[in-house]
Amino acid sequence: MEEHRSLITLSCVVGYLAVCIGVGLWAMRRTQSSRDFFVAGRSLGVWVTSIAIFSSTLSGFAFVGGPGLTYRQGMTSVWMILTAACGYAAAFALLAKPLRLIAELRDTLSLPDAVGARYRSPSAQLLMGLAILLGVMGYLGTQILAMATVMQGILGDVAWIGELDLVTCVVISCAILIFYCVTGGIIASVYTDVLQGAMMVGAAFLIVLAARSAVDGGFTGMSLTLMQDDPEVIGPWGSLGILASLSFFFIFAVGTAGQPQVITKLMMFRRVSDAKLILPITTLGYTAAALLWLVVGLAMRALVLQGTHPELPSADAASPLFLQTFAHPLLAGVVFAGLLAAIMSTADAFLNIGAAVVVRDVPRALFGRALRNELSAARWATVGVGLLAAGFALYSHYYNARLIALLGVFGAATFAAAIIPPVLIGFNWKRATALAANVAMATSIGINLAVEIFDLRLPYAIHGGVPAMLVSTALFLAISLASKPPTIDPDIEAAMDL
Amino acid sequence: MAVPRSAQSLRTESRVPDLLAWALLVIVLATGALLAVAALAPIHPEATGSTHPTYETMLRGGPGAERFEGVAAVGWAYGGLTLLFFTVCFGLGLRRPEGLGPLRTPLIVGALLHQLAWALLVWVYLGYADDPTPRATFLGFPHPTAVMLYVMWPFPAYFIALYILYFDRFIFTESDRRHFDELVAQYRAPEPPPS
Repeated sequence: MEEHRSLITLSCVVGYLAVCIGVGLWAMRRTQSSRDFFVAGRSLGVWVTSIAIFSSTLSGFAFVGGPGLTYRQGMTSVWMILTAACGYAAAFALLAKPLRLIAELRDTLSLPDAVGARYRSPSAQLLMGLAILLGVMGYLGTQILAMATVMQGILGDVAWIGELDLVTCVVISCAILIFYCVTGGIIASVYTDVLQGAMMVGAAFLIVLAARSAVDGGFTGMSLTLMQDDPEVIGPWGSLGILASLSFFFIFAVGTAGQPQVITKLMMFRRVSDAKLILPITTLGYTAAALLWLVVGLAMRALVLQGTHPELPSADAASPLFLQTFAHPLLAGVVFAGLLAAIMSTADAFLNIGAAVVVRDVPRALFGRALRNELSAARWATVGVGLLAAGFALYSHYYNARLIALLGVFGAATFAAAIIPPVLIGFNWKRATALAANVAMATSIGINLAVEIFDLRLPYAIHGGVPAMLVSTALFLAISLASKPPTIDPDIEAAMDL
Repeated sequence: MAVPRSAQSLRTESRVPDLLAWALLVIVLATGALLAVAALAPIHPEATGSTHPTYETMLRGGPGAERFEGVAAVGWAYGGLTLLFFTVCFGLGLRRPEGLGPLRTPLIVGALLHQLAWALLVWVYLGYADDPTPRATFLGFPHPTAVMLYVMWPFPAYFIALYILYFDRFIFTESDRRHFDELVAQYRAPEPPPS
């Protein structure tokens, strides 16, 4: 039976990877310029953009880490996903129109590119590029390690393949990821995202049904079991309490709105008016996929408490063990492929964003001009960023385990604190100055690095990104309000006025 | 390309963006002050839970009423400020140079209802934390969790509905589209040749 399960999972994963390669080859024919490579020629339809946005927001963490946190903490971590609707609404209200308009007026292909145009400041473009690149290396590194670990587990379960070492799995998974990102750029990325997003939503619905039938008494039985053991866990704040829950709400709602892989996609859709349809579809898709985070963690905790399943070796095992024990083999296979898909959909977006910083933002900020053959340079930069992140991930795994965790956490909090003030507020407030934007970005990098390097723990388990977010936003607003209104290029100002 | 901002925009620009920026600054400073006060006050030993006595991979919350008592007011205010932060951001994004126009009233109503939903959650939780006996459930979850999942979680749908309803008639109208096409014709750099 186990061999049968392993083969089904392997077939799903191989099928999915073959589709990724096929999409990469198909997208290569549609990628004729750096605009195609980085922003899909600004021609994406409503459904493609919507699904690409929510699937690149949900990484492998939503499939493994999230249910693990819910299993361990109860409802506390659910505040991380409860925030997405607020975050998407804020991101679309603040950015969908001005960013899309500026992208068309100035032919901007990356977020730092747009920041440089808004503030007439190469230093703002460079700082935003650096903040994104630092975060990308950490995020991409963690995604590559996760991708290789999942692949190692899937291949290791097949008797005729046997155990493969992590380096081999990093090489295989990176080769496929880099191949379709190099050939098809962001077009390949978003079209594989569509497949990935559809798999995530479908799998989440089926998993919810599986969880309902696995727990004695369905969801009500699950709640009663959890309440009898500890009412706080199934209460609205979970085990960590109200302040930790609200700090998750604050930082992840802001974080959703400040994710560069989300914001960059707001430059890619065809018509400005498409935004009104993309927002609800994105939010619904995310909410449906996020049910997995809520239900699997709570169901697994109830199953352990009811004695139906033995205690887990670790909280992160909640999702894989639930699938192996309680889900149909075909559903488990689809979800494992979906897990790989979720990781890859985040990784490919970061790979593209990192390459844009290298070939577009850094040369423009430092030398005032673009590279001569930007498309070719973009392809080489994609290979370079991918290999660097893979090497960094392996180095961190074998020699300094804290390094990648540090940059991963640093990335999430830095994106929020460095992007929200200068981009989400600054693109809607003409009085925002370049100096304020630079101070906010530098402050967010500095505080987040300090929190991680010195391992600062805040009382009530308040998320470490909260101080950076509060300080960078306060400085950005205070400096701008205290300064003379800046000069804005007339086309940018006109776009901000619309 | 770098020329001073136009006199036209200075005439039509309302003070709404500056007021919203001030509001955001006050919210951010108040949130920081609130968290500093919470951090300096005595902290309940089980404020962030403890390891489950039987299952070491699980955390327990412990005595809800006791650990909530010291942070109830701070938590309610922190949640209220967080929601207000998002409402103000939403308003900043949707306003026009002349102000919030027809969105003003629905946004204020939405902000008030959102605060009411939040206050309802805290109030229902207070009753839940005070009563140690097994509780009733609503659609599979205890009452405060049901408020969280079925009221707080979907509430942003109200703001999303405003975005959809007012997009064509206020946020980006047909005349805005024509104006933008003129801007593109006036300012847009020539197409780069394919690489």
